[in-house]
Amino acid sequence: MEKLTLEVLKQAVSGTAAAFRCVTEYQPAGGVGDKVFPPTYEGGKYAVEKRMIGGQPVPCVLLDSVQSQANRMELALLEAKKAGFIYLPLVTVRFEGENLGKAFVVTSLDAPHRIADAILRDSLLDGVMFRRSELGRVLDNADTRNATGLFGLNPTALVFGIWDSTGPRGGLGAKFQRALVSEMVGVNAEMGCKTASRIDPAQIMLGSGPIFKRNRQGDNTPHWTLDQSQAAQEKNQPKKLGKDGKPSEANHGNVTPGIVDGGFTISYAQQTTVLSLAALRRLRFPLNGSADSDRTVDQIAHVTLAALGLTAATLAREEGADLRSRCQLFPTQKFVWELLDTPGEAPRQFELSGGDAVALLKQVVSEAKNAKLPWYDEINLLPTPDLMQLVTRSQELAMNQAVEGGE
Amino acid sequence: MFALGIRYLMGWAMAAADGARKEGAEWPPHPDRVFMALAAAWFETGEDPQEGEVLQWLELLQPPGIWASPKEDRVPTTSYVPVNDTSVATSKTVSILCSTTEASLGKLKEAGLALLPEFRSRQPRGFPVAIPHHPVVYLVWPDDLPVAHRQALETLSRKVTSIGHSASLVQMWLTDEPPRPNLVPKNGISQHRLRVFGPGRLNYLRERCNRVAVICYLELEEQIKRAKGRDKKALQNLQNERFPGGSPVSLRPEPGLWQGYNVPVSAPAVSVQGSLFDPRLVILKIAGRRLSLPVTLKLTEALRGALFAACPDPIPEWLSGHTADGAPSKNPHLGLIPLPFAGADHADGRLMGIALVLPKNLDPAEVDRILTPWLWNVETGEARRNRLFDGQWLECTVELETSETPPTNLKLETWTASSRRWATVTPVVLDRHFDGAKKWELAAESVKVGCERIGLPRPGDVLLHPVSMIQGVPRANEFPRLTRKKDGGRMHHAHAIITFDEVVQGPIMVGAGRFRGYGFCRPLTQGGGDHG
Repeated sequence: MEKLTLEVLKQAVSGTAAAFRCVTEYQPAGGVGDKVFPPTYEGGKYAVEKRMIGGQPVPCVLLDSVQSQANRMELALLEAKKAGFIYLPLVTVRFEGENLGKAFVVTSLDAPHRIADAILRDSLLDGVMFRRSELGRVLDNADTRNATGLFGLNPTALVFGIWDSTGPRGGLGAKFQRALVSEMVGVNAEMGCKTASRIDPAQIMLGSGPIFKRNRQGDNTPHWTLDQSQAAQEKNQPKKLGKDGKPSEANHGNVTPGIVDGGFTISYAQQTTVLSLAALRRLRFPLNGSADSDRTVDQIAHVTLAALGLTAATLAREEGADLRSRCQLFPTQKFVWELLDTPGEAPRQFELSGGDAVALLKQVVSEAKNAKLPWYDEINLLPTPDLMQLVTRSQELAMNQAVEGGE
Repeated sequence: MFALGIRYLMGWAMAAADGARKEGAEWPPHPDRVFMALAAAWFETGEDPQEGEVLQWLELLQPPGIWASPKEDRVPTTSYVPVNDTSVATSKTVSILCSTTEASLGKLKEAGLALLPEFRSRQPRGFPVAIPHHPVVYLVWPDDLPVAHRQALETLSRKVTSIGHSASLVQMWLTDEPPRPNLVPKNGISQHRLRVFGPGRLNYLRERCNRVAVICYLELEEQIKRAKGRDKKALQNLQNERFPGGSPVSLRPEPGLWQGYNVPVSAPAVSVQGSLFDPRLVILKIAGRRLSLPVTLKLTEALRGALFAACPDPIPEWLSGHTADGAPSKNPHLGLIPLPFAGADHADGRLMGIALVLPKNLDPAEVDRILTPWLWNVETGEARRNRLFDGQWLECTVELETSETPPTNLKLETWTASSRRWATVTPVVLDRHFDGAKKWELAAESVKVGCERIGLPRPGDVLLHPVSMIQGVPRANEFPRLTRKKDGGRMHHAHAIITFDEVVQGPIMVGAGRFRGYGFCRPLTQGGGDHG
């Protein structure tokens, strides 16, 4: 099969093709027929549906949503960047310091609203609020006709989409639609049952309670007690642990065996990923404050973003699909990208491995830089002192609650 | 003829049929939604003048026909998405809060800790998805596309990237060889109502968004915040001068026009005689307490009452069956017929729907004026669920059946297909009492006359019987009798098999109770074929 080369990518982006699409089949890691657990939604519901496959309506279940797949692809890019495989602009906020119990980092690849997220907005770049800084202000004026600044600062936002709805322009702030969409469904999905039970090795029975929240906890006592005289008081009554003082509130005791609906067996899982070239072609990249963009520069930027999308999708696929507990899948097909061009004609097919995608991205980023397009490295922000104070206090609270056996 | 082809690249369409509720998925895409996608592509890609002209030309055309496959729905679920409008309280508030022992996690979140992704509050959101059996849709115009517009429309359609939600990626293209539409615009009562666009829609979208004014105002606002002294005052004056009415607003577009759509009716290969009634029944599905066929009279009475109550005065003769002076109309008028689960194994005669039968040759605009507000919510475009209550125990809701694949007994052709032989699902009410040795022949004769009265040819044979030939239909004596108006006497009724010498088209309602749901017939095809 043909390899997806830079030349192919350039032709596709500059031509009339609508999209690249990759459809891959998976099987549960436990083998064919093993049960998988899709995500549940409000009320414990599964997102089930019927799809026409082979002319017949076939029951299917959503295994991983568009939003979740986008997060996985962004995390795959983040991992690749951390490992030094790719060179990618990234905005980070570092929460670290002596007073902090646990240091952590939030980046434009894992913040909920990407570069437009409130946490980045309210952080400092060289002592200036990020959105007031020269770099941060590119978001204020970014739109599809002027995506240059965002390209250099956070190109993934142009691939996965962004809406700066809380910036100075409110709802009319920068809005870029996603160009990369992916989803996984289980095909021929038959709902099964799941069981729950626990046998307490100490055989603590329900009647051995109630247990009470201990008034004062020491290093040699648990956070609960059977002795009412040592219990914390509430309205002049000993305070029961949890809702009703059952031993299970302290994780002791048996769990009555039960069976409820849950989990599915599937014939196979199908992942569909589409990279819309039409969405990328809408973007314009004027340089040096010019009102108009150069067609050649635009095309280099489009190719760069397409390569970035393909890299994200391919790396995420190669990492496997460990979607959640009891829902790990492995691909049973090669990753084949179809180029969807003239309606009615069979699409051309291409192979692309993670390594090839990374090499492709490197090559095209180099071309983008030569074309004077911005491509920053890592931009480090610091949280405001107020936010740091809140985080510190929150960690202290969490620690105290943990020590007290918190509820 | 020209058409826009739309391929849903993920195999599904994500768009809400019910506005902000986001519980139901829209399918097929309404023409106005497609127009707005074209307009968005135009606004966002530099507003090419030729593309703008083609959009304004499209506005002037009649609504397009649509070819779309049936769809399945994903079970609606609620996701919770993190908000982005959180911010940190003032330094003073944060300092005070953090220095006290009163600080709880809730208070810290309120003060700004909720900025952290793990503490961010989430809002419920629905992402309704329709999964068409075939991922391609066509909007088909019978008009010729002028050569001057061809290139512009081709280019603009390629710029459309999604329809509905941004995840609903599409490929759009111009074609001259679309399939024949399976939904066509129809005036009057229709099975579907879709939002369409009309003259001035493009300008309306621009004005509604009001982008330039809103951004200009907000930018001035930002400058005023940062300026001081004279500069600040000058900027404030400038803002007041430019925007004397205060802050301009950007609004979501309201639905444009609503247009009825129906499956196109193909002319029959051979001319088939029908009755005075229009075969395009207005079918309503019933929900609520289970009702059986013998409650037909009560149900039709309740429905008639609801229609009269909703009708603006004066109630037209074709609806009420009475002239302005209260005399019975001599013209055919609205009939109401029950649609039971019948004619199949395990059929039990429960009522699945009820249909409005209109006389032929009514003015569609007049029917539309009277019935559409009752059948449809004209603001949201959704079919209305109307409550029927007889004041005692009968209570249910009825709603226009809009499904592409309704149950067999709610399909038009089940009741109106051409056939030589017909059998009643509700008994035929005889217009008088027959006695003597030939009473059954005389009764049959009266049914034959009844057929002629509704414009059908005289049947060759009528057989009256206490039992219906349609599976699942109760015996005639289980149905309450109609009473004569003049003396309150009970009128006789019986099931019937009516055989014509030629094929005739339904609906067939015959006998004295025909406008109230009695004497309603179904093509007799049980056992296969027409039995004819």
